[in-house]
Amino acid sequence: MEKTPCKQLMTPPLANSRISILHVLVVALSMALTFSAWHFSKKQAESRIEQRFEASRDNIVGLLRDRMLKYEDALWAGVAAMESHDGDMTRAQWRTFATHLRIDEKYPGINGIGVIHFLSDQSLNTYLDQRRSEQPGFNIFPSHDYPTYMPISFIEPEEINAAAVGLDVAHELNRRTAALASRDSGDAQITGPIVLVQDAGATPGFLFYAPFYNGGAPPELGDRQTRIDGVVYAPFVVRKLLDGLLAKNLRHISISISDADQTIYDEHLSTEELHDPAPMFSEEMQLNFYGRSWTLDIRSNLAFRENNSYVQPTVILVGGIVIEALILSLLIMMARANRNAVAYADKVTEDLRIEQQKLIRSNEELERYAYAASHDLKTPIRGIGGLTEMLKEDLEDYLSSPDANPEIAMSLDLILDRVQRMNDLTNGIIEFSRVGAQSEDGSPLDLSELITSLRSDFGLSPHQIELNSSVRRVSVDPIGLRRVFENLVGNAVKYHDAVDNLRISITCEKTLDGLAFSVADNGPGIDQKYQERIFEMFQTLRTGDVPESTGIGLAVVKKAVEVHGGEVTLISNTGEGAKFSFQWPQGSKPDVAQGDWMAA
Amino acid sequence: MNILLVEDNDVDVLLFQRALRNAGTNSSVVRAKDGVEALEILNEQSADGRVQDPYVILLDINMPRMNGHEFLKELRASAHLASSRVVVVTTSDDPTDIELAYGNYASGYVVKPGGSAEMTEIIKSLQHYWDICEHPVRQVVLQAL
Repeated sequence: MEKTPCKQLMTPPLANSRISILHVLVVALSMALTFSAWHFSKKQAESRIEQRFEASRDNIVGLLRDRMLKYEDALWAGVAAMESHDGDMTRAQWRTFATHLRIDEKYPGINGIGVIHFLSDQSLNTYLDQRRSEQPGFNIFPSHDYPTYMPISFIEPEEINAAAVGLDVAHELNRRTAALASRDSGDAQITGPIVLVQDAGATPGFLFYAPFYNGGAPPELGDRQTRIDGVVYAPFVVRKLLDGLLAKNLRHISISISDADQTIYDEHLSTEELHDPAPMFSEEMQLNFYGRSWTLDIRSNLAFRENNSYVQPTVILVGGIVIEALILSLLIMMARANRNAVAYADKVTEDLRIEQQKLIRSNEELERYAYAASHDLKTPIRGIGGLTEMLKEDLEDYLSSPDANPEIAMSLDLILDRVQRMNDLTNGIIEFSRVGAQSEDGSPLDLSELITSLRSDFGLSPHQIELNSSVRRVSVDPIGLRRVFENLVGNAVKYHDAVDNLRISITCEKTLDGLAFSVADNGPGIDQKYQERIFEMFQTLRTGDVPESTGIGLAVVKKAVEVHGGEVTLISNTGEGAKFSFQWPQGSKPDVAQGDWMAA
Repeated sequence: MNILLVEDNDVDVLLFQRALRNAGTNSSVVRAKDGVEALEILNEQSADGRVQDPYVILLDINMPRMNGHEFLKELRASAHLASSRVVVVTTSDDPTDIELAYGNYASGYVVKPGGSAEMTEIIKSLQHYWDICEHPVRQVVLQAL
């Protein structure tokens, strides 16, 4: 009977119970953000670290250059001293000069400072006499075939360089070449790699020359070659030179130096404390100075690695991934919770549906029961009524006699009255049960014919019921609609104080989804406080000796309207009549007259 | 007017008999308690002559064993009883019952009145209708004659 199962509840929820594209997008976007932040930060860190390496590199190279410049200055100071003495200083004078240079303090890394004279066969004896007068046993060694002698005359401090005194640097190619280059260019020059005779460790070293000439440095090459007196020189052990540059443990880079193919200094040894087998940075650069080309191989070491790790980008990446994982697990949890909620909702919906079906069934059973009970009651009620009437008929003579007991006639009438009432009630219940049961049956209800039949049913004159409608016929559940009107008009008649003055106005209008009816009367109206109760079963406002009503009529009206999804509303104030309004479906085939159609 | 009253309710039978009496007709009434009994009577009537031709059947709907509709259907399906005239007299005013009754060619449908006075009026009008009608004699009877 009920036609309104809860459709909305039965449709599956639209909620997505899985991880949606949006979720994936959020994760992907935040992943992309994380990676770009990581990438950017890594790039920045890399560039920063590279800059640090470059700064360290420039620092060490700069230091090296500065140091060599300083040594050069010392050499040129020696040159100035020699030339101010016309190229002829005594051993004592040189010692004084060297002492005043304070090379120990001011020129760390230098092994000493000395003088080499250039001699020909002619000048050799004079020179030897002079030297031997200062230093008995002075000798030039070793012998060689080169026409020029280049003996080391003085070297200070002499104690550590004693082995070098008298050494003829012309005997060996590297020493000689640089000395000649210095002579020819007039510039300071260094030799290729050599081993100093005074270096017990026999490690790579070199000599640093600055030339002095008779009468100062001449501008012409030829003059320089003829007027050369000698060179002021300084011997270097590369190891010591570098040691004096910058303490290794303060540097973040290590360095190796090679001259031509020969390595003269090397910190890239696995035995080094800070050696990094796979340096983060390495660079080879050429250092061209003083006639030589040194190849510097500069590499970052462990100290550099320690101070320049990629912690920040790594932290960003790891943090980002952790956040990502959290977001992902959150989304998964949300999806799972959503799925559970949907499953729960589905279950509840299903439970509700089952409950609702049970309710509908039990409602139907109740109605069937009411119908059957009422129906079965009809026969005995009729029997009682019929028998009472017969009794009354049989007693007619007695009851009309003067000595009749008046209570008998009264009791019989009361029985008949109650029988009538029981009949009305059972009929009402049956009618209520039938509402909506045969909604599809019957031919369309013609409204004007309905009004006519209502007039005759309730004995009203034409002007007492007026119809104002734009619709002529209604095809949906005509029996139900007739029942609604019979009950509403019947109530208007039943409850009116003076039926002759009763006026009923019925209207019907088309709406978007059907028809809107109203039935208004000019009766006594209905008190606000009863307006809900009157639609309930067996509720009647009548009391006392007024005509009885079953209280089923409006329940029937309500049910008939609600079966079609409509609603009955009542507007009424005490003493101002009542107006019932309700909706009724129009049906698939609208049956509307041209223009407004009036019936009165 | 020969009447076959098919009615299970004894009170209604009493009421009917009283109404018949009050109406002043001298009809012969045979009573069947339900459809089964009514069919038995009709099928055997030539033998014991309980229901005399021409006759009218007053039929209740709600009865045990075989109700009014079933009886009517059987009646119309029976070769020698198909032309019987039936007036349904019942408490039911259900449109379904009315439709079914006329669908099986009931001659009339009367909802039982509350009291015997109304019933008397109904009997009177039935008698009047009966009197002005020409009543065919059943095929079987004609052959017998």
